[in-house]
Amino acid sequence: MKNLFLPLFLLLVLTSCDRTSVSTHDNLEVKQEFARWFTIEKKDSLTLITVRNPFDTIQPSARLLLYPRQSNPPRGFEEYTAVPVPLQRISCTSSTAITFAGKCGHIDAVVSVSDANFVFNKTIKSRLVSGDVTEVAQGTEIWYEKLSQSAPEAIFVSMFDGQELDRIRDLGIIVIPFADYLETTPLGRAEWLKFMGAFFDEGEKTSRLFDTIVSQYQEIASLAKNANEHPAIFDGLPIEGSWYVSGGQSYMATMYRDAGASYIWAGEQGAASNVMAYEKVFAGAAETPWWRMVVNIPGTLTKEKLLAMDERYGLFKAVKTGGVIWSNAATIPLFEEGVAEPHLVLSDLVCYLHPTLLPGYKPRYYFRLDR
Amino acid sequence: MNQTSKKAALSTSELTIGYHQGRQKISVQQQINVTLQHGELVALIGPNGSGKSTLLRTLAGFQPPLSGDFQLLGRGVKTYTRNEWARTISIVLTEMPGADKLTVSDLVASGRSPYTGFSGRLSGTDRRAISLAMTSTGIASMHNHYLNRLSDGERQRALIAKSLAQDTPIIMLDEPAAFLDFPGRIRIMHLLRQLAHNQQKAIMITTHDIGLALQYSDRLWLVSQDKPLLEGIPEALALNGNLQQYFTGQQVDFDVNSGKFLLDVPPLNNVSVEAPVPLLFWLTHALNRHQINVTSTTQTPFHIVATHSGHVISFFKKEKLIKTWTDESDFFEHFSAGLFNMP
Amino acid sequence: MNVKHHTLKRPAVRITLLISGVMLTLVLLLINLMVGSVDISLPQLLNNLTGLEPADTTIVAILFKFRLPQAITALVAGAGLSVAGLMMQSLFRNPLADPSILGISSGASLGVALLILGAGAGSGTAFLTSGILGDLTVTIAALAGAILVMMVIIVFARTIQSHSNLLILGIMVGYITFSAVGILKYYSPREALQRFVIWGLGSFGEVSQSRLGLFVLLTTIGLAASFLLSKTLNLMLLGEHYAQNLGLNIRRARLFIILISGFLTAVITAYCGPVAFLGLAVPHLTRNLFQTSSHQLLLPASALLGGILALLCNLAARLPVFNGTLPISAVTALIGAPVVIWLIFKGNK
Repeated sequence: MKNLFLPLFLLLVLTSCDRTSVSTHDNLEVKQEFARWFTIEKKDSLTLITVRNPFDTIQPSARLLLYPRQSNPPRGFEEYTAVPVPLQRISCTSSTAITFAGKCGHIDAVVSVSDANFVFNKTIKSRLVSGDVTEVAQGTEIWYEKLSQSAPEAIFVSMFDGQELDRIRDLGIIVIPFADYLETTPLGRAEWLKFMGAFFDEGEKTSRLFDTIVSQYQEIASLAKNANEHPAIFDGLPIEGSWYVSGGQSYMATMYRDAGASYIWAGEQGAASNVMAYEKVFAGAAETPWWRMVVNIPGTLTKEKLLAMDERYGLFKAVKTGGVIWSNAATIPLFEEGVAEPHLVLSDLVCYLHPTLLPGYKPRYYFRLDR
Repeated sequence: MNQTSKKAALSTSELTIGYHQGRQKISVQQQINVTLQHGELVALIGPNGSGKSTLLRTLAGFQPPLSGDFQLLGRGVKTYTRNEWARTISIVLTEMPGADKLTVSDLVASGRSPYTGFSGRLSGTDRRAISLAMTSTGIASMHNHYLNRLSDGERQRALIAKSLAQDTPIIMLDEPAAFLDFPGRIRIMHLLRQLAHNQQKAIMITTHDIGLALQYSDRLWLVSQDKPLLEGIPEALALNGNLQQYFTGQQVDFDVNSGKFLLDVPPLNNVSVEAPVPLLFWLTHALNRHQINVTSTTQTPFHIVATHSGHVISFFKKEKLIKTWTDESDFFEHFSAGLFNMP
Repeated sequence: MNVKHHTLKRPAVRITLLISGVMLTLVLLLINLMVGSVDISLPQLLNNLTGLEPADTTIVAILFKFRLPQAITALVAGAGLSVAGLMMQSLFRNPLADPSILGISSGASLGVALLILGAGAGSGTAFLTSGILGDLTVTIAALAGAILVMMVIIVFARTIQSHSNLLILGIMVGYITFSAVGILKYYSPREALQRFVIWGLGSFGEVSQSRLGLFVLLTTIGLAASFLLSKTLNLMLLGEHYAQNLGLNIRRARLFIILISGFLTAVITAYCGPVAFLGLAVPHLTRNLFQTSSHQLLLPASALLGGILALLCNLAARLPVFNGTLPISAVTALIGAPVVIWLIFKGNK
């Protein structure tokens, strides 16, 4: 023991030279149970985050080194981008990032966003009006001057590559890829809460929040699993004759399974959506009792409006028997907020598919079309 | 000269033609008063830029006159409907329908358009007119050939056949001889004369080929940039000096004796020629080419005499024999103007 | 000089071709009804069509709600576009002319772009699937855009004498709308962009059963009107001077040709989106096949051949090999261009 004292002391002294603050965590390994596209490792007061690249299996899209902002950026991590945390000013071109920032309790950190017209978050909307938050991008176009003026420390983007990102880095803004949408499971997407939490030093809070979500989700899923029937369901809507349906290994396919439904194309490949001829969809789904769709219209979806879009929708059994579950991208924040509340989204589906399981539950994201 | 005794096919009255350049009116010919008679072939000749095309376009109805008027078949043009006009004047231009699979009979049949009504269906009368037109122009055997496979002359005849099928009393042709070879030109002019005389058509052509015009037309209309339009019978215009006048200032002289156009340069020398016809004509021809003028005996000390059989041609200066050639070929090959300077 | 003397044979050849054409159309129609993501055999087809035996409702629905409207749309659109293209080629005496040359289908594009892309960029809601009027709004927007451009062109046609100037004007209008659409695209969210791009590639499947009647009626009116112009078009082929000398009112003729061709183009583009290539290639194929310039024959023959080609392309686009339905403009050129190239080489001998 005595012989070890000096080397241990020296080790402590030597290693403490690089750190000016005392570590607050002891080597907490943040395990991602569901998310596959990011990993978090903790090294004392440092957090190392890797975001995988969907186009490159070897080179990750980002390696981020989060360090306490009062200290100096640590040396010895050349491949990593240093990020001082907690972040105080962020820009979000990913709308889900806004929601996650809010769940972390740091909505005030958001200084600029993209596509102001499509933002649902009430705080951000009012701040857009007052000018405290600025719009710095629209569609595929980023306005670099405005972005620079909004002076964020980092930007959460939903793309991975390209000259646009380099130009942003040239402005001195840290680029953080926010790849929640690549996750093929609802819990995997929600787990990005912890990703966001790391940047605000809210690791504990977000872990707890996520654990709650997981347990609630799994409880409902297990209820649904044990239901007597697993009704058949399909989804999608045609664009000019070609129908985009959820792939067999997609986010929605997982959710259908967890909701105790039988997705008719669960056997098809695809982690996102597949193109299918209208005719083929009709042949397969004409007798399917449930149809989940997301429209984009002003106001509420009614049967008249649906049939006005295409009279052939009336041929589907789901439409005839009141089995259409719909959401509206224009008026309901299904994508923006639902990603952080998969247990609620799941509950919405379950309360229609298995009416007796969740008595008194009021759906928020999905509605049922009248007969 | 308005001939009111015989009803003219076309007669103009103080017709001024030209074009608009912005707001300005530029007139090319002023106050033209001419007539075109049935059964007559008229050639409109003149140098480039004198207004030939403008006159033809105006008379064909493609552009309005700047002032004045003209009458067709005794009626003012303004009273004519489009269809009536189509039955009165037909045109043959240098442009060719570029359509790909057009046959000769398609083209000639289109001449019946003023008569076939809305659907364009051909009646028995129409078919007879088409057949007759093709026979008159000698192209009946080619009726189902494609236009773009014909020779220039055949195409020209097809266009004329179309005009014939159109059955108009007046036909106007713009440079009909332009793309034809020499025999072709003769044939076309001959055909036009026949049409004028045998079918009593009133035909007007524009042409650069004055020789052809002089030879075949009943009447000439002369235009020039700064002179008023002059009309007359070719021979009369030649003899009264009008033809010559029209070309003064252009370094070209009309020689009334030979009916030829010569460059307006002074001759190197003069000589008198005595020889039998046709040798006389060709000796003169060769001497003119060498810029030697042929004149009467009294006006020159130089004489050329050919024997009656045509052999032995002798050259005299003041009765003194200077040179002889054994026959005309020898002369033509070895004659030179330098002879005149020998002592 | 290789002159074919089909003096007596030619009319017989042409009649044979026409009859074969009609039969081929029927055959292709049947095949289009049988082939797709669900195979329907001939006996099945006949049963369900005639309702002899108790029918499979799914198959009946597929036949009457999907395949039949699509096949008829293809047939009618192919006929209409070919005739419109022929009229443009004859009016301008230009073998490269096609229905879109006066910018009318670009105008339709602009109308739809303003609806799908512009509405999204301007207000807060992108019209991915529209409200009360549904898909009809796209048709109306396309028609409005096309008619607007057509009126502009007609006004120009009254004052501009030269044909080539009119052509250039039409091309310029096309470019202006192209740029406007490009700008709109740039500012649009991805979903709206996707929908617009897919619309822009054309589709025969967007005319539902209830709207088919009006579409067929309008196109038939356009076709009938064009047949009435046979003599006029024959005269236009001779060139303006000869045509005028033969009694044609050039100004009025031009106006009618542009009007009827434009009407056909506008209607078809409104219901099917821009369908490329048919209007350009079919007149050439027809001229080559029937060896004539006479519009009394060319107009109906082009309509027939256009319908056949469109049915063929419709079939190809819907082969089960492709999971979806390929956009029609992609297929028309792929099938049609080699045919035209073959024809050129055949005629080169």
